[in-house]
Amino acid sequence: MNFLPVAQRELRVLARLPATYSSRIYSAALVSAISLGMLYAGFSGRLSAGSAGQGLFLIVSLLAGMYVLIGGAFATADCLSQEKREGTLGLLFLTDLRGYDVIAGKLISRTGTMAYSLLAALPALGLGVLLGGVSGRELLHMAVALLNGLFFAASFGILVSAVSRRERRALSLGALGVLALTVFVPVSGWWLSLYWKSGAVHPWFLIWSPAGAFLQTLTAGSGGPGLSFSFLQSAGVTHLLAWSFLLAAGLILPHAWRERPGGNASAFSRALSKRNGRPGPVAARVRRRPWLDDNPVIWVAERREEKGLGIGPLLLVFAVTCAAGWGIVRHTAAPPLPLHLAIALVLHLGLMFFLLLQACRAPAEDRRTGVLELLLTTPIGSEVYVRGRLLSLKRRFIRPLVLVLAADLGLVLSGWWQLGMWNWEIFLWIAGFTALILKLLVDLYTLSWVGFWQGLKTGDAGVAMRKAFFHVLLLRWVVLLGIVAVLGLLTGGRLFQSPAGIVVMLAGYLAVFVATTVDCCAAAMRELSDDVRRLALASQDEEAARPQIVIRRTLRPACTRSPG
Amino acid sequence: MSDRHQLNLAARSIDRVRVIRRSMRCFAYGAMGLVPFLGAGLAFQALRLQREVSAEMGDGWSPPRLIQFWVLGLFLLWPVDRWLGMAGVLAVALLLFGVQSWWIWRSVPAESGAEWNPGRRHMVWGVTFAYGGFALSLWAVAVIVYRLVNLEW
Repeated sequence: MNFLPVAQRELRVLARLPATYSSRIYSAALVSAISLGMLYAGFSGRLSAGSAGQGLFLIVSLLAGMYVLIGGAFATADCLSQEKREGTLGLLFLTDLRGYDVIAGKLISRTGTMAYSLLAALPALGLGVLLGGVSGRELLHMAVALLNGLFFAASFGILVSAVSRRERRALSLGALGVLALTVFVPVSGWWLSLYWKSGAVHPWFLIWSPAGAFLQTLTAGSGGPGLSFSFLQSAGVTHLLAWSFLLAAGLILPHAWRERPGGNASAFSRALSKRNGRPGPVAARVRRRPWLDDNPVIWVAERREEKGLGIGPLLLVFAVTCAAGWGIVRHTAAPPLPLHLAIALVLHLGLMFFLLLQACRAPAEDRRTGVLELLLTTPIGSEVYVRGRLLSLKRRFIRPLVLVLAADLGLVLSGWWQLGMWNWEIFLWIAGFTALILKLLVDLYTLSWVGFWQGLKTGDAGVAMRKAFFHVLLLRWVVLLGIVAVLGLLTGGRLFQSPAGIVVMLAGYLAVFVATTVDCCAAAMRELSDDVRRLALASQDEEAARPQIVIRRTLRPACTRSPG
Repeated sequence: MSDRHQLNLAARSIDRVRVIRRSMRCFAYGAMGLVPFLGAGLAFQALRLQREVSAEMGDGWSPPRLIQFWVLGLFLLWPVDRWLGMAGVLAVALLLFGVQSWWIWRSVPAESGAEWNPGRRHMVWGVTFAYGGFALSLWAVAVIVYRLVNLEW
């Protein structure tokens, strides 16, 4: 009997891919560099070895947790909906394959490399055990929590993909759903515990969220009262929940891929589409008309169905949540200024995420559907296309940007009011927020170019988003922590025990920020100015076949060995 | 333009405007890449542009190996910094940068036999500046690390 044939085939394919092996090396090196960098920069000489180990374990676990939850959801959120859009899912069901065969294959193909990378990075978490302050049991619990979190997020992404058809909706629902289950629900429980003055979060807010297992592991060694459920209970419940997501997806999928006579959307979506499909009001048509002569690509992008709902509803939900939370927290002793910074950072990250999603999605969809090839055969040309898409992106995000900047101004004024009269702390507060806002503007500009470039190059919005996110936002931290690790090793940690260490880190961050941002922008502008036709016509096989690094060539004999 | 160039022009179709634009872009990126650390990314892009333009034009030129200048710089700058301070370091760095630039220009063949690229000179200057930026960044890092390691914290 051939059990899960698609999954078996995907495992064999993974075993032959060089990325399977190189990603393990990268992830282990990355986590080691981050750990050493934080040890030297943050903890050198100030804390005991045990406290440093605990702190390192906490930070690396949080970073790994964010990676598995968001990355897992993104990896699988569009896997089945893409097959539905391309019409290949129906072909699979013409064979003997069942829903669970397809789902198992997709789960393994999309998350296999991530799981291997996670396993390779887990030993670096053991640095905390070597330093003390973290027991082997906590390390084991965290390893299980991370793997379980990846499984949970990937299963949720598959369920979302099974019920969705459109790429933007699938990716947004997948990421937001995982964030809601992991962050929003536990935070709501915390707020309610403050409001009810109960002293502890009710278990129902945590036990069925991946955050429960994480928190149970992290609080177990802190000597505090801990949570009212065990690690096994939380991990078991979330694991069963993940299996239920897969089961639901397996039951839905054989019925969800078929085209219905009136379309596959729900009644509400059909009513909304009918409203959107009707010619808009006269004022909107008149407003769009001038773009047809100047840049037809902007005219197309200004259509209502092209725009979608946008980031507006999410900002509204966030504002209401912040207002409700502030109404509760202001009666407690929680420090307000770090909360201001946290709110600003969440707003900035949310805006960057949505801009990146839009920047990657449009060219990827144009390339995949063949619209780009058609456009390039017309007199419009590549320059008009690139300029039109980027300008429409900027037009779409100018309003949310103004809202976020207004929120930042409100936070600055609120912090100023809390700090009191003029003193150096106020100047520091204003300067810090100004730097944060400037960084946001630079990052948005870079993400728009790099996201568009990667979307055009890869033809897949999820892959493009991951690459753009890594190169623009994550790479600078990796380089900085690597530099800090090297400097720490060379100076025996003495550099970061003195105030000059902070200056070195700030100067290093600024230099790395400018260098990586300029490099990413220059690379994107270079290729989008000259090579749009080559990017549009290049296939993903050609991209995969291009030799990337020496390690790939070194590993080639292992990759080409046939299994068994 | 020589007769060989005229014949080569008819051999295949090249978007000459694109090639010239890319050569000028290589020069601009290289010039900005002279800034240590901050320009490293642009210097890298300048070198990529040079490789792509050379491949497109059939020009077999590639910059020579420069590792000997960088290693020589590292060996020279530490004692110079100790004895002569920052002024001596700057003087030696500029001297080595000049010798390296001459070494790059020395390797450019007079008649490449490839298609005529009006922007070729600018492209070579761009590569010269890009490698100069890399060298200056490396030496600056070496001097900073040397000073940080030897400071009394």
